[in-house]
Amino acid sequence: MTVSSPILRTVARFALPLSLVVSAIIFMQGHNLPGGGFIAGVLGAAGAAIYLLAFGVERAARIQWWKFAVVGLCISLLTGTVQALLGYGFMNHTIWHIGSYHLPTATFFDLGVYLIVLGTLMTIFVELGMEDR
Amino acid sequence: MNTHLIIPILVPLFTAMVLTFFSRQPVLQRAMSLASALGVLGYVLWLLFYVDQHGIQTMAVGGWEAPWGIVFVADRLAAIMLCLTMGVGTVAMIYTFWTVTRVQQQYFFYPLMHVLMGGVNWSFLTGDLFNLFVSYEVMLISSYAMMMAGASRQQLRQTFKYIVINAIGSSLFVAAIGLIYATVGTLNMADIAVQTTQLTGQRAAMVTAASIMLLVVFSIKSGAFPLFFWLPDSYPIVPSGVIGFFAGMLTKVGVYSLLRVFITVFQQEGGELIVQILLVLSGFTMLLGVLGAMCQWDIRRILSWHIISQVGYMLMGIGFTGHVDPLIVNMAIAGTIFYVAHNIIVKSCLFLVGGIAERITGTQELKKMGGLLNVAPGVAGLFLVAGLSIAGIPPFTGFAGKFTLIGVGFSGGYFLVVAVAIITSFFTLYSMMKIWTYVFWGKAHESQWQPLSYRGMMAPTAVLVLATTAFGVFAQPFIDLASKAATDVRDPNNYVTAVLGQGAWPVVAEAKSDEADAVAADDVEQSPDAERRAVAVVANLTREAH
Repeated sequence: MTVSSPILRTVARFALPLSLVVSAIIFMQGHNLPGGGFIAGVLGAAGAAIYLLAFGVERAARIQWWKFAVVGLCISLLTGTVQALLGYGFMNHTIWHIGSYHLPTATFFDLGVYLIVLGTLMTIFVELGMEDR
Repeated sequence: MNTHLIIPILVPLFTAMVLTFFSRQPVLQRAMSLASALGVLGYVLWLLFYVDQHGIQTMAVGGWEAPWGIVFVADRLAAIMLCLTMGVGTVAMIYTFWTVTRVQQQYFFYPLMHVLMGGVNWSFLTGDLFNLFVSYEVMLISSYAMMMAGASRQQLRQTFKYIVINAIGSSLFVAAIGLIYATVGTLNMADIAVQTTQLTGQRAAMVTAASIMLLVVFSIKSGAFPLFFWLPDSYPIVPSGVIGFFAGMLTKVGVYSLLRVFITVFQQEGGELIVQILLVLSGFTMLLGVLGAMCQWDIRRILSWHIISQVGYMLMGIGFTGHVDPLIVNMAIAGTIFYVAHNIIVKSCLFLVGGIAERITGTQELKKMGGLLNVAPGVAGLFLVAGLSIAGIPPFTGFAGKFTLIGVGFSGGYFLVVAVAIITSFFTLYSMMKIWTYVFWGKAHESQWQPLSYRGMMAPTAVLVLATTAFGVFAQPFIDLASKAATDVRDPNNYVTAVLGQGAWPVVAEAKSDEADAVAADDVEQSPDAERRAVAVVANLTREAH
């Protein structure tokens, strides 16, 4: 079904894991350095887009990507709501120290953003890819 | 700390997310929708009573106190608007149980409806200018998606217009917010009010310039002259039922923003300019809106043009606040708030009745309807009350609202715009009579009619009709509430104290005397100038006479 070149297919095999790793790094450094959930989500989706171009959208289309966005939104909102239910106030935040690593509450919010961006972009890619079938 | 203030925003959003997973189970989805909406409605009604008795409630997000953090503020006006949103929203939602199609359901109709209500609630509660922008976006994005569900050619064309005009509005909004932040150094509404009282000269002019940009944004949103052209095109494609909510609430968010931002928030000298502009715009909005309605033959288009014309009355009320007498200003704001409340209920009601008429006859064309009086006398009764109410016939709410506003206009000496308002009122009555004549009288074209059940849809519509009658007959408590709300809006003292704490508002007496001094100084400086101008005018006149 795919009409892509062998070069694209070879590149795509490497590009997908590489971009996922880079997106994870960008995501984790986002608290203090440039990066964060949004840009990391875009990077992850970009890697997946190259893969889709090379191997077609059929496999990706089997996943309901919009559910990622909904779950992401849920995580982001819960980041604010859990504290409110525990009596600390909405969106109250703290930093946990795990060894030398600092884990702020905002990470969970960002994780939600990551999933929203990934889910939304993949939905668009898959819909556009399936359009001519 | 009132963490509960987040409920009207969070509950609809969470409901929306949960509902997305149940798009295959319509009954469960509807039950959950209704439960959530009724729950929030109960909360906001309680909030209105609580705020009325205990004063303004605030909540700082994340524990960051104002002016650094984002605050949510519930004063009387916000609470009234919340009650209207959830009330009309719940009614419109029950109505859609009969109208929603499978395609709409598949494209997340109910989740989007909840996001929309959450966004509207958000815009009323927020105490931060940038947050207001965010709430606008939440509202807009869900409304785009609702209008697009199904993606027919017609929907694509009209939604595109709607998206473009709103994208322009949003960019202007951000630009204006940037300018205001650069000039005042804060985006917290209460803090802006405090800072702008001390602004003079160029910096005050800068804030006024930015607020003109905001005026454009809110005019687009509320459908004011000359930025209303998108409204009669895009509203007719909104799904039946939810159009009642669109028509009632979305333009009023713009009116609310005008009231809040230009009366409570911006206090710089020269800021009265905006109010004067609004007064002029209001006349055009009223008249052109109703003239537009008169030449339409599609029931949804007629009612959409009437939205514009009715927004004109509210702008007129805001325009009256330029008066020097604080009593008249108070009455003007109270009248506007009452009118907004009246219009939200009646406008939604008219669209819902229109939806029933469409469902019975299967068309939106006035000329193809007819004879509904014999087939569905109940629907005719509902329309009669709503139509008379919007035209301003006693004892319905329209009368009390128009009477207050026009009375204020007369005592304030704004005769021209009041005259326009009265003329508009007659035209509105004509337009309602046109709908009555063509839809309910005449011969029925029953051959084309679809035998769909419509009785269920009448119950939610009747609730709104009862509401407008009740508010009209027992108007006094509501007018009292509106005038108490108006006091909070006009005098930022309460608002600022609630948000920033005691003593944050610059002492009023001192400010007044300063102002008086400044005015006196201006008089001394300007008097020779004024004399010279008067002499020149007299000289000109005599020359012309010769």
